[in-house]
Amino acid sequence: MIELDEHIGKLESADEAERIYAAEDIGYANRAEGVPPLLERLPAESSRAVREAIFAALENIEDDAVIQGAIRLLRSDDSFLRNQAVDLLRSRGPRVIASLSLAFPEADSDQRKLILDVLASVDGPGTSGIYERALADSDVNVVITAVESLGNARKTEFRAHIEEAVGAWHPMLTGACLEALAQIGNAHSLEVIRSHAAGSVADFLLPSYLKVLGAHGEESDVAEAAGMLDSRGAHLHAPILDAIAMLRQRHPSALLPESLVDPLERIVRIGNSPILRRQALHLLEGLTKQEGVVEFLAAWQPRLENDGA
Amino acid sequence: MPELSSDQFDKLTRKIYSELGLQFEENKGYFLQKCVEKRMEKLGFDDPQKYLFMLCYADPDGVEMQALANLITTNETYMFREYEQLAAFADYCLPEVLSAKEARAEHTLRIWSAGCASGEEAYTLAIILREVFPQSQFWNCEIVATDIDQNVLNQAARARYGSRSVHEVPPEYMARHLIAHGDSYTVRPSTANLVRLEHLNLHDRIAMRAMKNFDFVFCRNVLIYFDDRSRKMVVDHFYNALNPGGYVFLGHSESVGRISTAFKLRRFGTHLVYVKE
Amino acid sequence: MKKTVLIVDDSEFVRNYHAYILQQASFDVITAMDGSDGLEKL
Repeated sequence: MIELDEHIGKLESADEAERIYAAEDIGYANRAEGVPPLLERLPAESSRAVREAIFAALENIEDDAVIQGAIRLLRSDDSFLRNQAVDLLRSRGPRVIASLSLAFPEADSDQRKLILDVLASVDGPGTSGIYERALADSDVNVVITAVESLGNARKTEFRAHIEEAVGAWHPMLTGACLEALAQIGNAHSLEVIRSHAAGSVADFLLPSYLKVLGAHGEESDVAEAAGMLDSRGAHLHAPILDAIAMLRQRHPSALLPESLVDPLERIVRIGNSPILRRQALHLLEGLTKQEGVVEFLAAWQPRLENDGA
Repeated sequence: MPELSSDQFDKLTRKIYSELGLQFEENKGYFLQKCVEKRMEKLGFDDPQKYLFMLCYADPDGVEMQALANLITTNETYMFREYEQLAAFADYCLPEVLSAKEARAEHTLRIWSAGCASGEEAYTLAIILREVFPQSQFWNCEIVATDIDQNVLNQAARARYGSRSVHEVPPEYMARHLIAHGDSYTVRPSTANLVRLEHLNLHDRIAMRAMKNFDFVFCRNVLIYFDDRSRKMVVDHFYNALNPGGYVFLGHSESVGRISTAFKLRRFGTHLVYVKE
Repeated sequence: MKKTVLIVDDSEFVRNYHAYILQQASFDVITAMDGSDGLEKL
């Protein structure tokens, strides 16, 4: 079509605005012939604005050549192009799964990770195959990415697989497994984790462990979390309170130990975030039988509501 | 109704940033909590965990995100809204652009107030111009205020506002730029005449391409109601509409960088602004 | 005085994981999910 050729020609214009309009118009034309010139222009194009316009245009063209072009771009040395390619593939939705499935085995470890990044936002039949391969990947980054996605997407069918990986040699993989099990695990998962921890969970894994505790622990586990409030650093207060709050939500009759009053009052007074302080206040409402708590609550509730200081 | 945990608050604010480009600080936690509770009540959720999961993984067309957006963005409009941002414009960006033009002996200044509604922002900019840049009367200065709704444009043309609209106007400016008639205030013609009102649909690409050679574009608290793709298209048009060295201002909590990386971020003190280099 | 580290990563888990380690080592931490977010928080 003559008009399309005109626009394609303008992709080389010296004027930045013209190149942007050209890319936009090729996008609006929504024809397969527009795809190769857009992709070919990318490496030579120095303007960020034009590059963005090219990707916006590609998003508008429904042809599958866009999917193939985007998968090729995953190999680019240019991080901007790689990231845009991931976004482009995400915008296509489940249609990309088949092509990604084919590309996965041939891809290098960086590309495999990027393919998983796409799948983090795209769901549909066919993803399980990719995830299974990814969980057995030789590159631990790929495995970690897969575990994280599976947890976020609540794919409970992979629970056993992830429980097995908890004892991994790589601490970041262990951490990823804990985070995922907080979402898709159960009481058994907590047991598995404890058996690997052999008594003490490493400090930097504690927040993730606490999430699992909160999500799948029993009434009696409140004491374990509460005990950490005094012994651990202030940066752990948020995950500890989150865990206690979650346990109470799931077990409303769970008793809070008296020993919590002092640390909770301290957090209300000097906690490092308004949310944390409100959460501590909320938990104190479960301790009104203790001396002084009712008065403390009366003094502090008005100060902390309404995003007050 | 259980409160959002720290972790849930984090997830929520990340999601809002990722989808709407809006930043929320921790001191807005209570406010966000209340908005989420309203949505949860409406939809029959009793567990924030479930609501969050739905928002992140089961809201493919962004319908719930938009419903939440409508709650968390306040729609009220008044003059000198988002004062801090206007101060950055008046104290840093405007002088910078003006001196660059002076050096080139160019005596034209054009500002676009996109989605101007009843005109409070446009007249605010006019007041700022007259105050900070008295030379404006000798230059070719214009504030083009556009909106898709002809009714609000007619309202804007009257340049008349009630006391709610002017409560943030600095007192010294009131007397100089507004005429009081009892409870209502009219913008003085010598200030109002900087503003030219025009009908324009931000989605109309032909009309948008005709907007050129602006030094500043203001489009505050308008694009939050657009979907991702449209929002990006509009901001890309703003890029083309601006002269090199020109600035784009979205709402204070809206992140330009999230929408387009074609602009460069600059920092003036604590203010973040975006410029076309 | 505590030093502050900015962590930028699109993965929530990666951000948190590194934040915990750095906080354990007495750094203050700010996290961001991408370049724009990071630049705005600097």
